[in-house]
Amino acid sequence: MSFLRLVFRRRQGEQDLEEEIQSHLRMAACDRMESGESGDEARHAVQREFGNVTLIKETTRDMWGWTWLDALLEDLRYGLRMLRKNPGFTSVAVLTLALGIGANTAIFSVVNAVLIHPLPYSHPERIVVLSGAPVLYSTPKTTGSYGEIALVDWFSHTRSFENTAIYETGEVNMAGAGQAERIKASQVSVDFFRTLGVQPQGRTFLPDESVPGRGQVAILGEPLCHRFGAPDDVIGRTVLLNGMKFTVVGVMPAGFTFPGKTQIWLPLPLPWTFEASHISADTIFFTPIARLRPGVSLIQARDEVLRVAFPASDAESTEARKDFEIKPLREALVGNDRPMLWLLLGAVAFVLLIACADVANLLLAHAVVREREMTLRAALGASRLRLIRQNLAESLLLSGLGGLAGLLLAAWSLGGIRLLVPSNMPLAAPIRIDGGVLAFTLAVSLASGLLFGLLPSLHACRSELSGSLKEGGRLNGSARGHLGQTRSLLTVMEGALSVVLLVGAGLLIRSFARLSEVNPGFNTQRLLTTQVSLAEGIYQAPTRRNEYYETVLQRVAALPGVRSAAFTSNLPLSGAAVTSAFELQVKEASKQPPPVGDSRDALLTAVSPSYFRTMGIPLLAGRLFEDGDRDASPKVAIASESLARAFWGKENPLGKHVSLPITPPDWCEIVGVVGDTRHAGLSAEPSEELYLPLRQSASPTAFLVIRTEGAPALITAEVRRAVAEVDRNEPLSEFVTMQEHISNSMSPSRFRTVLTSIFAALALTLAVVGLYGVMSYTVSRRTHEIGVRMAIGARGEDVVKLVLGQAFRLILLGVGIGVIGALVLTRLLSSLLYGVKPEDPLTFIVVGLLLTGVALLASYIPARRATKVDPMVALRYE
Amino acid sequence: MQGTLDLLILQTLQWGPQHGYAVAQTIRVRSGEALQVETGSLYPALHRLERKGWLKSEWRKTESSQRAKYYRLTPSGKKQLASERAQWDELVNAITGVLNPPKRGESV
Repeated sequence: MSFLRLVFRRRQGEQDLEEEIQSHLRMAACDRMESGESGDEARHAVQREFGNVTLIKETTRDMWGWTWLDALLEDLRYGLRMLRKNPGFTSVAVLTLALGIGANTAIFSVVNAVLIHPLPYSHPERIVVLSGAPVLYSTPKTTGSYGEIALVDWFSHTRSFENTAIYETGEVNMAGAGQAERIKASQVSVDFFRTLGVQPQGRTFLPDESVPGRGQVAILGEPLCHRFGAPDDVIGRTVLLNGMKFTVVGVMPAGFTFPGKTQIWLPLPLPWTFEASHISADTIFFTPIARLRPGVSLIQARDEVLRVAFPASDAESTEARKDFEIKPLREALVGNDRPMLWLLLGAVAFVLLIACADVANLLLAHAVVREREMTLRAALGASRLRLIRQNLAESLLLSGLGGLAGLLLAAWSLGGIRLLVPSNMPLAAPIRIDGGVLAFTLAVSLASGLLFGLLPSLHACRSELSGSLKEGGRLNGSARGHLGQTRSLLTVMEGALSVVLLVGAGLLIRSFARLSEVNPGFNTQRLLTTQVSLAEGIYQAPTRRNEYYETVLQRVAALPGVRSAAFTSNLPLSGAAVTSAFELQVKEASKQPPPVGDSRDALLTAVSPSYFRTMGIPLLAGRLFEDGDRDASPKVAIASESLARAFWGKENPLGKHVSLPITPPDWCEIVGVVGDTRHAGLSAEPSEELYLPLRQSASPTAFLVIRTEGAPALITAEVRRAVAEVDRNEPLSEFVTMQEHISNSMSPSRFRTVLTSIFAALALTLAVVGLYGVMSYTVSRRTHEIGVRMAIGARGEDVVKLVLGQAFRLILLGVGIGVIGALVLTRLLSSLLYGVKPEDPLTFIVVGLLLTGVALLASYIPARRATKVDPMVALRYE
Repeated sequence: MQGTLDLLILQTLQWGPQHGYAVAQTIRVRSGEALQVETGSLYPALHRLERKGWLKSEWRKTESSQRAKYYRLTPSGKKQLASERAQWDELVNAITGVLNPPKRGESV
C-alpha cells in the first residue's frame, strides 16, 4: 500500500518537476523575446543557459529524500537486465560465489551450533565447571556410606554461587520388556537441574532423595521415555535398573542430554558405583558445576573457592591450587574444538576471498566491454556517483544470487558435514541453517558484493569518459594498462591465498597419514568389542564375577567364527578409562636416572589370560598370565614396556614388586613385560600400564574383546545370544569394532583434514580459473602485438614462451607471497598437527610445484590460442 | 557555497512568493548581475529547502497567466532566515576584521 503510494507520489513529483522546468524555460524565453530575440534564438539560448536538463532533474530528485528506494529499484532492474543479457558471465560469477558463500555458510552452521548458539539452559553464561578441587571426591568404601560426601561442606556454602551440584556419568543395566540393555546414566546431586536451569516434565529430585536408600527415583531423557509411552503415562511407573526398582518422577525436554549423552538421571548417592575400570577404587571423581550469582565474576568465584577449599598454606595445597580450574560451561565443553573451528572458518574465508577476486576479475574484464555503455550514460547526464551505484547494485545482485545458490549448496552439504562432525563435539543446537546462519550468509553475501564490486566501480569512475567515445570504442592505453595491473594483482593474491590453504591442507593430510600409520601396539583388524557390568546383585561377590567371566569366555570362544576372546577392564582407544590412573608403591625402585620416586601413577588393567593373545600384544620378557594365577596363588602382575622402563630403568623388571592401592596392601611380583599400547588416542604417548590377572582383581565392569575369523559384524547376534544364555539379566552394551573405535578417535583429525582439503581444492580451482581468465584476457588484448610479432617471424613456441613467461611471473609472485604467508599462518596449526612440523619442507615444495604446474597448464591453453593468431587478422583487429 | 545560496533564496522569498525563474532573476538583478544562479543548483536547493519545511510550494498563474510553481517562506523558514542572516553577519564581520586589521598605532 505504502509502496504504491510511493510510486504514485514519485510519478506526481516527476510530472511536477517537468512542468516546473518547462515553465522556467518558457518564462526565460519570453523574457528574451521581449528584449528582441527571435523565438528560435531565444529558445536555444535558454536551453544552453539552463544546462543539462536530465542531470538537473536527477540532482533535484535526489533532494526528495525517498528517491533512494526508487533509484535502488531502478538500479536493480537495470542490473537484472544486464545479468540476463550475459548468461555465461552471470552463471560463472554466481557459481563461483555460490561455492565461496556456500562453504562459509556450511562451516558457520557448525560454528553456530557449537560456539555461538546459546546453550539451552537459562542464563548459560553463569554456569561454571570446576575441576581440581580436592574435596570433590569421597571415600565411599572406607566410610561405608555415600552420603558423607565432603564436598557438600564447603561447596554449597560458598557465597559466589547461587546453586551448586556434582555429577558422575556411567552406564546402568535397564531391564524392561524383552532383553536387558545398557543405557547411559548420570548420578547427579539434588540441585543439578536447578544449577543448569532446566525443568523436567514432572519434578526434579527432592532433598530427602539424596539420603542413601531413599533415592530410588529416576528422571528419563525424552527419547528413552518415548519407548515406554507419553511422558504423562510414564511418570509414576517403575523401571528396573541394575536389578532395583526406580520410580520415574520426571522426563527431561527433548534435546537435553547433559552431561554427555545421558539417557537417564539418578539422584546421588547410588547404591553402586559407575567407575568403569575400578578394581579397588575407593574414590569417585565427581564433576562439580555451579551457577554464579548475578554480578559475581569468574575471578571472584575462583578466589573464594581457593580460599575455602585450600585453606592450608603447605606445599601440597599450593600444588593443588595450581590444578584448580573454574571455567564457563561452554568453555569446558568446547575447549578443544574451538581452534579447529576457527581454523575451518579461516579456511573458508580464504576460499571466499579467492572467489571474490575471481568475480572482481570477471567484472573488470566485463567493464572493458561496457566501457562504451558507461561512457554513453555519463555523457547523457548520469553522475559518477550514479554510475558507481549502478555498478554496486549489479555486484550486490550477483552476490545476492550467489548467496542464495550458496545457501542451497550449504543445505545440500549439511548431511555430509553432520556425518563428518566428530561424535563427541558438544552441540548446543542441531547443525542446521537457522536464523543466525541466514543472517551470517546475508552479511557475507553483502560484504563480498561490496568487496568485489568496489574495484570495477572505482575503475568505471576513473575511466576517461569522453576519450573512449571519441576513439570509437577503443580504450586508451593507460586505463588498459592499469586494468591489466589490477587483474594481475588479483591473480597474484588468489595464488598466494591458495598456497596458504594448500599448505594447511597438506600439513593436515600429512599428520592424518602419520596418525593412521601409528602402531597402537596391537592388531586392530577384526576385533569386536563390547562391555559388561557386574556391579550389583549376585555379582557383588568377586567369585561370582569370575565365574561369569569364565563361562562367558568359554561360550564365546566356542562360537564358530571366533578365534579367541578375552576380558579386560581397560580397552585401548575406546575413549574410556583414560583417567583411572593409580598410585603404585614400588618396592625396588631403580635409582638410575631418570630418578623415580617410590610411587608413581600407572594405568591398572585387569585382564583374562587370553587378553594378550587376543589383542596381539607381544610378550617381551617373562611370561603371560596363566590359568594358574588365581585368587589363592601368589599375586602377579605384568608391566608394559614403558612402565618397566620408567620404574626400573635398564634393570630387569622381572621379579620386582609393586603394591596396589587395595586393602589390605599386597605386593605383586612382575612376571612379564609386554609391548606398549596407546589408550588415550593414536597421537597420545603409550600409557604406563600395569596388568593384573582378572581372577585376582575381579573388576565389576569389563570389556569383552573378540578376535574374529571374518567380518566382526557378522557374529554380533550369536555373541549376544551366547552371553544372554549365561545370565539374561546381564546385557552387553553396543558392539563396536576396534576399527570403529579408531575411526572415532581419529574423527576430529578426519573432520578438519577432509574439510580443509576440500576447501584447498576449491581454492586451487578458483585461483586457476582466475588465472586462466586473466591470461585469456591478456592474449586477446595482445592479439595485435602477437600478430605483429608473428608477421616479423616469431614462431609459435616463441609466442607460447611469451605468454607462459608472463603467467610464470604472476605464479611465482603468488607462490612466493603465499609461502611467506603460510610460514606465518601454519604456526597456528601446530596444536592440530601430529608428526609433522608446521614448516615441513616437503609440504611446501609439493604445494609450490602443484600450484605452479596446474597454473602453467591453465595458462597453456590461452598461450596455444595465441599461436593460432593469423597475423593478417590480428593486424586488422581493432 | 551551499549555505549562501540557501540564504539568498530565503531572503529573496521574504518579499513574497516567487517561482524559481523569478528567484534566479531577482538574485541576479539585486546583485547587480554579479551573482548568476545556476539552474543546476537552484532547483535542487529549492526542493531541499521545501523538504526541510522552510518553504512551501503551490501552483499559481503568473501575471502573464502562465502556470508556475510558487515558493513561499513558512514560519520556520523565517526563523531559519533570521538565524542564517545572523550567522552571515558574524562571518562578514569576522572576515572584515581580518581584512582590515587595526592600524599599528591604534593597537598599542
